[in-house]
Amino acid sequence: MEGLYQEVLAITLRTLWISGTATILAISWSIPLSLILISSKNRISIFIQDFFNALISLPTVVLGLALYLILSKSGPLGFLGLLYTPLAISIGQSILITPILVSMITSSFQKLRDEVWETAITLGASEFQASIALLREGTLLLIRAILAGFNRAVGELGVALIVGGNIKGFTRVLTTTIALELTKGNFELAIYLGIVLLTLSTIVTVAIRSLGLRGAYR
Amino acid sequence: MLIDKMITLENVWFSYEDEHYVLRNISLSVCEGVTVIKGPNGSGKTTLLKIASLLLKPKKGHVIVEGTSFWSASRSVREKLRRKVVYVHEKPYLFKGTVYDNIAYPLKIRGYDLSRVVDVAKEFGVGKILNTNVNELSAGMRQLVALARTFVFKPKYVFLDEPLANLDDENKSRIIRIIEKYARKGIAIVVATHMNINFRKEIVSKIAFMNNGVIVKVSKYK
Amino acid sequence: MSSKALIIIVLAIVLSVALLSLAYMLFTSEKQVVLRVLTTTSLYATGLLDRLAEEFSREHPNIVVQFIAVGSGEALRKAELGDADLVLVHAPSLERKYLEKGVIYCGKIFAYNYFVIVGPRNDPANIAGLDPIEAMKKIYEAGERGYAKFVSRGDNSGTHVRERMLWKKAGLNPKGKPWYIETGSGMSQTLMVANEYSAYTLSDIGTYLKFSSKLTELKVLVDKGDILVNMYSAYLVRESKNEKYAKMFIDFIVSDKGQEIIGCYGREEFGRPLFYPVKTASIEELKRMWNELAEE
Repeated sequence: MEGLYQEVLAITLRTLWISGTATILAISWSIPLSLILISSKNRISIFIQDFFNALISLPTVVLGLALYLILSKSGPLGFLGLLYTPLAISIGQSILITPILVSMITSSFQKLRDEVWETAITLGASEFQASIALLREGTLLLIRAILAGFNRAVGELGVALIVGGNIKGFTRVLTTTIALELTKGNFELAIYLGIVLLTLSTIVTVAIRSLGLRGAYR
Repeated sequence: MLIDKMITLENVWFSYEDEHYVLRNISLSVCEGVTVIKGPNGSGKTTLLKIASLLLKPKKGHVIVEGTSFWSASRSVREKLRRKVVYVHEKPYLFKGTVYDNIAYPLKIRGYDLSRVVDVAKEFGVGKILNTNVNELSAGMRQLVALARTFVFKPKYVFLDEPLANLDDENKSRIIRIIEKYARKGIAIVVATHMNINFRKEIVSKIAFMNNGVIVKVSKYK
Repeated sequence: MSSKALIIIVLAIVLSVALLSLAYMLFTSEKQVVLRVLTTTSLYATGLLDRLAEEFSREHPNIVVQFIAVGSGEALRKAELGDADLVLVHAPSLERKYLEKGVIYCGKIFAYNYFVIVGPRNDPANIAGLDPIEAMKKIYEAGERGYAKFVSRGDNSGTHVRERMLWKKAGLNPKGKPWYIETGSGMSQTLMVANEYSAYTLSDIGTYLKFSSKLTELKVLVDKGDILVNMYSAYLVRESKNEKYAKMFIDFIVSDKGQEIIGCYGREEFGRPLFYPVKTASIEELKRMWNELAEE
């Protein structure tokens, strides 16, 4: 039982690390992209926003398979040797959650943007400084989007299984462990791990909710 | 009147998206003293103000700032000119944080010294609430903070959109006094309003009457 | 905005990817050889492979063996794409196809056990103790008359390949019949479905034994016959750059020590081993059976 506990702990920490990295990656391009999208109100940006909205429901296995074919030894990026590594999962999950981040940020920032942007610009801010001001004013909205993205990354199975390979002690995360234990017939352990996963995302969801309430109060 | 101390709109047309023109063939110049733009709600005052304060780009026509056609100028020239101009919304947006943070903002982004903040705050009657969070302010107080934040960096052109809306009489007269004071210092102040505001005659340079997207009459004083 | 922001985006991406790969390289910079082994799920799920790898790593601490559990069909297809050093599979007819393509080579049978036909305790098709082909015919007949159902993996796994072979040998094609249910999922899920429907299904003995306590409606009805022999083979992958080490792993699992681990595994838990080491049958006999199975 001692060994099992340690392994569950290790898997949980690995899950947080891999999905955390995915979230950081996704943030690095989602925030600038969202800022561009909300500042340029032309047809192309509306189309891109609709496109990202549609991508939110992309099945994870489809993305996983596409990534597999790209990262495979015989695929275009095979030479990187990323397949079946934690980084491959992080990259896959970061792509998976990008539409969520972009959609949440653009939709929640749209109203705030006009006010903050106009105020900052007219007070003499450069466009870069105005973007900073917008991000600062929308910190809570931003954190909400980030947590939602993180939650999705932690809870997805397809990408982690297909490009991670569920390798013991290396790319095994909570969801892939649950799938494996199910195959092994260890339903009890699968449920136990499911509870760990549920607890994690409940904590995150409650955090989102409380931030949302405080954000609304502003 | 020196041309390099003015913002001039030349035959400006404007529409949002593909709608009809909300401004039609507007020509107006703004110079030292107070310019009042009077007109009913929906007559196009706010749009005109945003174009004159360089926030909106006209669909047709030119905005000349101190002799330079603003929207054909280079990016760096535009940024330099824009820093002399400020627009204050009817319900100004205050950044999260304290009153001090807000008044200091224009100075910080310009890299100016912040020592002026306290004096300006006192002048605008918000000196005692510098450390108050802006969430806790009344509408009148917010307007005063926004004005302090506006004048603190010594802009040359100030555009005030309905500055007296939502204010009680005491604050109304306080703001009128402040506007008159800065107008006397040589700042060009444009006030858009649907009300009658009694400024001292000698500081009002012109009153433009707007209706339905056009300027119907301009009365010059100086 | 756009040009500046675009530069920022590109920079952010490049920077973060660079940082991450750097961190990743630091993490894995130890001088270890990583062996990627694509293995069938049923084999991996028993836990035998982790036990073998543990022992192997004790002898070769510089080699890390990583198992990726997939179906036999998927394992071979991925080997073709070059994504493994080794494959462990149990589908002779598929193996032969990939051997001919030159994707895999140097195969060794390292363990075997039996497929079993399991079914409802009351055995409506009356197959208990029959020859496997006869049993399939009876199931078909009972299915047609509405007395029985059959659950298939339907996922091109080794088990599914064997099941198709049984139908073929019986001269029947149940595909599309209302009593023929394809789950498209792993052995454990398929057994659970069979249990729910009180249906017949083909299973490897290992998975069935692990699950038997949960499969209250089912029992083993047919477990004899050459055609039910389930042989696990290890192959080197042509594209692999770790050929030397992969060879070492295969040598290990067919060595006396490896074979002993295989022969003992599961004995404590189930009262009988899940797998038989190859030496308990004559290797020629196994090869003959493999060839027969690969014919299909």
